[in-house]
This record gives sequence, C-alpha cells and structure tokens, in this order.
Amino acid sequence: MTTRWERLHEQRARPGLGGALIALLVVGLLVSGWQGWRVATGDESVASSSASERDAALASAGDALVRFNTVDYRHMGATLDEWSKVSSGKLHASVLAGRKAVRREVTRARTMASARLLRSALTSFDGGAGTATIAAVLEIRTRTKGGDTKTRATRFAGLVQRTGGTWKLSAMQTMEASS
Amino acid sequence: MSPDLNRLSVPSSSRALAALATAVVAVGLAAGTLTVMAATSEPQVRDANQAFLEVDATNAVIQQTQQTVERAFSFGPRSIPAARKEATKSLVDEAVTQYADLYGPLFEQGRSTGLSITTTVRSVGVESLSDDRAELLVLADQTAASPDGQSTTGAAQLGVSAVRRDGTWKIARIELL
Repeated sequence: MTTRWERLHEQRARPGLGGALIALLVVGLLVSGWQGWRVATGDESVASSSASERDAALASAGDALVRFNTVDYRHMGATLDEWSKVSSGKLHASVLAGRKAVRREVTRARTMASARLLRSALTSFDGGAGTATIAAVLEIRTRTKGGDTKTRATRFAGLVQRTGGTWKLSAMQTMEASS
Repeated sequence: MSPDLNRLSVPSSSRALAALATAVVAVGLAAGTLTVMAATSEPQVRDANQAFLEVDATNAVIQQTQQTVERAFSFGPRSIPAARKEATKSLVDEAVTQYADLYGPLFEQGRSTGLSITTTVRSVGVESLSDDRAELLVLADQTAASPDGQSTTGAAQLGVSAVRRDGTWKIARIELL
C-alpha cells in the first residue's frame, strides 16, 4: 500500500532524476557538437593531411625515379610492369607504347643499371590539385655488355600526380648542364 | 486520484525516463567516439615541416636562396667586390669559411687571368622548413669563362642549410653533392 508520503516522495524523485538525465543529455550533445566540429573543421588535421600528402608525393616520386633507372635485361617483363605501376599520364602511356622496343633494346645491349637516390626535394606542391614537382640527384651505376661499370650522379626533374589516392610519376627528364 | 489513473501515469513517466536514459547513453557514446576521432585525427603539434604548407614562407626561402647563390657564386674580373658584398650580407656561420675556401682561390684567378664564373640556378627544392631554419636542394649550372672566349659549363648540386636572421634567409652551410 502506498502512503501519501511515499507518493509525494516518488513524485519529487522522478522530476529530479529526469532533470539530471536532461542535464546529462545537454552536456552530451554539447560535447558531441564540439568534438564533431573539431573532426570536421580542425585546421590542424587539414594541415597534417597536407603534410602527409606532401611527404607521400616526394616519397613516391623518388621511388619511381629509382625504379625507372633500375634495369636488368634478364627481367625486363617485371621491370616494365614496375614502370607501368608507378607511372601515370604521358609517362605511363609511353611505357605501354614502348614496351616492345625498350625490351628489345635493353636485351640487345644487355643493360644492367641500378640507381640510388642521393637527394631529393619537392620544388612545388599543390595538395588540392594533386600535383607536385621534384628535383632529385640519383647515383646511377650501369654495366655495359663488356662488363665495365660506370657510376655517375644524374639530376632529374619529375612531375608527380595523385591518381586514385596514390602519387604516380607522370613526367621525368634528366637535367643536363646547359651553357 | 483513482487507483486506475495512478497506474496509468506511473508507467508513462517511467517510459519517458527510460527513453531519456537511452538518449543520454546514445549521446554519451557519440561524444566519446567523436572525442576519440578528434584526438586521433589531430596531431599533437602542428607538423614541424612547413614546406609548401606555408606558401609565402616557402616562396620566400626559395627566392632568397636562389638570389644569394647566383649573386655570391658569380663574378667577373671587375665584379669580385659585388660577389664578396653579397657573400658578406647573405652568408653566415660555417658558410662564411666554406665560401672563403671555395671562392678565395677563384677570385685570385679572376684577378690574375680574367676568369669569370656564372652560376645559374636551375631548380630549388625545399626539404624542410620551420620558422627560422630550412634545408634546400639547389641544382645549378656553373659556367667558367676565360677572356679569350673559352668556356665550360658543369653541373653543381648543393645541399643548402638556411637560417632566418632578422627576417631574411641566409645560407649557413653548403654541402657539395
């Protein structure tokens, strides 16, 4: 049996609990809103993603330049597959178009070359557009048919573009000293 | 109040409380999840390397380094003082001695044989950039010419450490690659 006092008590307690829950709900909503806003708009996270994009562009460009200067006439199928994988745009098209000719030429000359990245840096970067240019110095060691090895430092300029979330080399050229 | 009404009203307010409690738990979970997301997507500090993120600062260090390299590392028989002046203005720390070692003998030749050297920057890459320090890769061509018209051009690759003093970028160290 419910006494009057108990009923009174119950009536008081319910609004108290309800009030506390509503207060919690409001706090929770405020925190959600604030954190959601941080996730969505935080400048820091934008800068950090640009920084990682920049670093990815440089790493991919350097890696692609090394691959394009690493040649083993005995494994040209795999080499050409690599070139195809790390390139895009015009460079990619010329890899595909020149596949047979490159293979023939390299096999005939028994070309062996290995490359090492001495130093590289971006010369421009546009994270929004997904383009970057790179300057690099590679040490390229080549062995000719006769077995002689030659090592020389070669300068390169390259263009990388982001396609499908990855950076690929779309143009490269050696930078010879010009008078 | 009739017993019937009493029975009706109690369950309905219990239901409201239960709904409220559920909402609190849901919102609490959302707040927690979003806090974790915000914390993990956000680096503890701003990325230390501001190269190409701070566009104006990046352009400034590229432009000033290119200018210093071209002016300090180019001279003709009559423009040795100009090259020295640029070096005094824009080289600091280790680069001062490095410049004296590299260019001292060349200036001698300039005075005695009329040798001139022209340095043209082909490309400047920025490896890292902070408020007052930067690491750059400078690719340049250098042409040495004698008064009889003979000249040779070679490639020069420089790793350059730059420091910002009084708002201006100066070269503090040069590494010949």
